[in-house]
Amino acid sequence: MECEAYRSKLLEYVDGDLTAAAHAELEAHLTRCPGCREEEHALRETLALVARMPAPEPPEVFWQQYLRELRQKVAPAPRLPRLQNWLATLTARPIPALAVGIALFLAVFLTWQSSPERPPIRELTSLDLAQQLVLSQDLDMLREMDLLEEIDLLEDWELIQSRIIEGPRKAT
Amino acid sequence: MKEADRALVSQLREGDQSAFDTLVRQYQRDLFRLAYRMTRNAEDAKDLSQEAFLRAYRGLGNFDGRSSLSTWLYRITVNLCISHLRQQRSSDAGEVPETHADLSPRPLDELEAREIHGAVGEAVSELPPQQQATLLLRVHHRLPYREIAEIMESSEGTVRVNYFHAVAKLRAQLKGLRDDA
Repeated sequence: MECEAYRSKLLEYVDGDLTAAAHAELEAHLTRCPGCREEEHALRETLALVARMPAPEPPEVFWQQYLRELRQKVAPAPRLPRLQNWLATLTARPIPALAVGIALFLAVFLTWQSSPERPPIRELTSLDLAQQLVLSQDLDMLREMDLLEEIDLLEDWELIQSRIIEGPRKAT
Repeated sequence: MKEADRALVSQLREGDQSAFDTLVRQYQRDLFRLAYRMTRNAEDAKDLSQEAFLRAYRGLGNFDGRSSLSTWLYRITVNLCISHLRQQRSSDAGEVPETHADLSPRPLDELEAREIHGAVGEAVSELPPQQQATLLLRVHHRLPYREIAEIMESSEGTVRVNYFHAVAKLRAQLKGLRDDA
């Protein structure tokens, strides 16, 4: 294997991330190759510099304040006044609220429908009166028709009667 | 997910205040240090790590338990830091980040060490945010590639490539410091 191929595995070697066989092979190469050894040394130093990057070690009082601030941020919101609270519940659960609303509306509407003394919805207009007049004329006509039928029946009755009277006579 | 994590998540979902305290105390230092090394600013590190806890708490419903609690918290923190760095870079492009230098008298070797740390921090901060996060999670938090991949929501191969490029860039940039050391 050429130096270039070994060097591409140097970071994994330094990190201890190679298989045992690959590790041993690279190690053997490093003993023979000063250039690759220098490269390995540079990598180790670079990683050591990064590892020494400082971070502050805040005192315990800092962490107490840190946690206190977080607790305040996650604490539930203060209780709303009664109406606001009720409205908040409605907006938070719109589907159940809508269902209850529809049920209430239906209950009121059906009660009103079945009531014998329900108030008039609106005043009669001229068009309504005209329609009612036409209806009343129709009713008169219907009554006349009934009368005609009755007359027909009477006529039939007379015919029947005559047949009844004539019948026995023919028999005798 | 570990049994302890599962129990803690269950307590958190029930609104147990003491479980929230336990979660914060358990991970506050790791998240703060990661955020500090990415932003190089203690105030930003505090805000970002606290925001990570808040998001975790409020997003408990989205936590499916496929990854560990620490992986999930690291992921939220890394995403917040990356987004913060991108915003910062686009808003004050070219400006040198504030490092809260302490100018009190100190021994010479300590000053040299501070200079070296400053130069390393500067070099790390110049890396693309994804490479920066990968490098810090690998070197400082000693996480395996598999877990870093889960945190970064990418493949293990991508994580390895990011890490390789990050180290190669730093190796070139810190050549002078290595020679002095």
